[in-house]
Amino acid sequence: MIQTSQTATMSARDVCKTFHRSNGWFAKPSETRALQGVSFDVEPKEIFGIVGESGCGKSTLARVLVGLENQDSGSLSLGGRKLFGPGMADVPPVKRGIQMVFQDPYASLNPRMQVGEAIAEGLAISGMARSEREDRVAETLSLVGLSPDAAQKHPFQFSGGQRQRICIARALVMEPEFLVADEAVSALDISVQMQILNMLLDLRDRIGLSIIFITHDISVVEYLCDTVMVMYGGKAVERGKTADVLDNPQDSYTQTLISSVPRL
Amino acid sequence: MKFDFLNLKFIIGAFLLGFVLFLALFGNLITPFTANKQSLMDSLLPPLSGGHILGTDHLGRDILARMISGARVSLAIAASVVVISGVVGVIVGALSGYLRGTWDLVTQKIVESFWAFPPILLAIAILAFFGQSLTNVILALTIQRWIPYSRMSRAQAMVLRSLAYVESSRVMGGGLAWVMRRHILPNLMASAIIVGTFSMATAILAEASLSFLGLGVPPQIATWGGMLAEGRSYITRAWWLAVMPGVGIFITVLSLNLLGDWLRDQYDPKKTLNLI
Amino acid sequence: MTLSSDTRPADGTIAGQNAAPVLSARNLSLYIREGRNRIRIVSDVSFEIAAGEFFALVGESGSGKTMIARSIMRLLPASMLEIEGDLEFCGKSLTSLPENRMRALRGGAISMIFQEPMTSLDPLMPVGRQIEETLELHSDLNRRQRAERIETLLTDVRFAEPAKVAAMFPHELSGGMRQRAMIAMALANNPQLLIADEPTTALDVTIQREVMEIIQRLRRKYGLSVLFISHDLSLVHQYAERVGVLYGGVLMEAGPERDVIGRSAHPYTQALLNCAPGRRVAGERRRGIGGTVPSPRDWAPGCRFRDRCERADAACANSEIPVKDLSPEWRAKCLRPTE
Repeated sequence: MIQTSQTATMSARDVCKTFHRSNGWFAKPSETRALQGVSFDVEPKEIFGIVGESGCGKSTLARVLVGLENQDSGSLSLGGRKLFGPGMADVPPVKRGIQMVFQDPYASLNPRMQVGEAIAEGLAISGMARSEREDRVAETLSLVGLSPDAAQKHPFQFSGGQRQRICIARALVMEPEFLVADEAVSALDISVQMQILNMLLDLRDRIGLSIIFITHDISVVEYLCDTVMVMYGGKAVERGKTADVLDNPQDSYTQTLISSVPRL
Repeated sequence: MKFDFLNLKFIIGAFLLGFVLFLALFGNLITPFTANKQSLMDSLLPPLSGGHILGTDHLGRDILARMISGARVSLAIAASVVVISGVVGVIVGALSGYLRGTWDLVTQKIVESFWAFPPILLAIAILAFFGQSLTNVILALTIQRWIPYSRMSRAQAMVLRSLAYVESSRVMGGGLAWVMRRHILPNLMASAIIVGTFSMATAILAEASLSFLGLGVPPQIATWGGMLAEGRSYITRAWWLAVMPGVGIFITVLSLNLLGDWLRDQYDPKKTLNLI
Repeated sequence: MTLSSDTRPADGTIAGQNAAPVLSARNLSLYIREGRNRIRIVSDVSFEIAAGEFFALVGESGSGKTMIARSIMRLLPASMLEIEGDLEFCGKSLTSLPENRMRALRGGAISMIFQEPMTSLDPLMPVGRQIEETLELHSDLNRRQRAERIETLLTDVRFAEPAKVAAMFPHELSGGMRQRAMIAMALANNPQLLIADEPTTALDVTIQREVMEIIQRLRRKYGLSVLFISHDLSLVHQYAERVGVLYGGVLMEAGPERDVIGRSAHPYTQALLNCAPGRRVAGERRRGIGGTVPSPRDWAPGCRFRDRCERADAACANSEIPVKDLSPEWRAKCLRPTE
């Protein structure tokens, strides 16, 4: 049975990241300060929303958390275990216990690999035997609502929503303590989006998954997240229980953001 | 991937290349003569006389037998050049595009400096320096030919590295070797095969040019380029000496270009333009 | 009636429904060629857009909404996109119009904005120069008049310094600014109909609101009709006057916004509204819609939505689904529409 640790709290402190772009040999390189000291805590079994507009740093934060990008400074710990911080080498991605689901379900799966192979990739890298991998793949497929025979098919045989389920299965099979979902439903049709959102809620209830859900869509945050952090210009401008933040935003940017959302 | 085998480019290209390959492999069954057997009595016999299907040259050697030897040399050299340069080019380029940084900077400088030399001049220099031999011809032709592969692979690897499935592989612990083997290299194969097909055609031309200049493989081995050079002085008296190897080069290069063209069409994403 | 832009009401009032529609589609079907096959991607769609009206076509991917927009502009050659049925612009058939007359309409009386403005702006030309080009093509303004017009247009889309923006290249503008520049260009020749294909999908919500407000303001100012293509029900709810809901190339429900979205009758519209995320009480789940959007290659006779519909039964599979009038302006293509 796929299980996740239900006791780990994630704490990030003062995470900073600046991108430098070379403008040729003689020009001054330009700087983008993507993260300027972001701190937050996520409780076990919590769905934590990070919301903001393009360029606010939310995707960079996701990439730093899973180890796809190196932070400049700051620290991150998971249930007392330090993942990065001053005076230590960064824990490599696979050892962090944080997995990621990406936005584009079409670019997320190698078209040449069978679905079962794709899901088991992480297990294969860690050296698990084939028969054991196959069992785990079948189990995970049913967890995300797909039939076990999906393992023998290729990604092109699946719709966007089904592919996103496969990507979630690929992340879950690693038994992560945290799942980071970066705009994981933005590219989906709305009828399918709701299926995935409900599935994430179910996964939290059934296997105690903690989720960091990154999105630009306030109404998705409202539906899915227990707590929310609003980011603007590389900083966290507001943080709190979702209902509190949405009903009574304190920060002026949060107020503008919430009032701009068209409502049904 | 569905290949359209009824395409005229494929049919003609495959037929011509098949014909050349057949000659190279089984040509000895057609003619009783050997490539270097001289018979001054029979010199400059026109085609279809004295049992010589394509005639004889100024030393009475059977042209068909020499053509067969030339086909072997040309195809073997071109194939080795294409395979070696392909493997080197794809690996260097894929690493450049995937790793970026210092490795990329250094290899790009090497690529640029190699590219700045006129190819035939570089090949001549290498042969003059190391001496004429089969291996040195292959080396001389490979030294620049890996560059198109590396450029193509670098560009594609740069796109691939930012794809979500490659990043996801990294998050799951995939190291350089794993990501290369599972995700990057398989995606480069199609383009590498297309580049290779065209490159094979130019390699055959280049080998012929070197032999024509007397810089190719040692002169005791019959090659199309060498035959062309020898036949040049007899062109007014015995046209077949120069024309036969010329035709050999022509149909081989044509067939490879047709096949390369066809392959490129097959892999062209525009072929499956999707409006839905 | 002529096709020139002077025929629309000068005072900009929104014409009543008895006036001739600016655009009418009657039994519009679209086919695309795929090898030797002809695949129907839009079936029998009929709708009208009155002068000054904001009409929204809502649908998920594969619903055919974008192809309908392209067919009006005839952006794809007949060899790729076949049009059946009638498309009329101000009473003139667009389907039989020769290509040169159609060219005069495009960017003239009918213009279009897209989801990604970067692809419709020439990266090598300053914004002002691009607007000027459409003016040169469709009007006989002289150089000075053109310059004035460009300034008015850029001011209309809320650029504080129009002269500065006119000299800028597309890559120097942000996404929202590009979309505004695109709107200015689309409006250059006083179109009667603006087709907006998901114009705000790639934009942030705060910018989206800005762009939508600009479209609304210009619509009032110039009496412009808008065909708005979107997948976003809440956006449509906020801005549209009339709505058509597409699913699988079929117009499932159409009518005034307050009916279609306010008290929808078609099970698909209802289900779609139920898919919109938002506040929920702990433990509660929106139902959403099970299954996936079918591909045009897999369409079967009967109702396209029946596999995912909770109200479907055997009758939905084999009969031709009738269009039911729920009010003079409101109709649904369903055997069992409900209030």
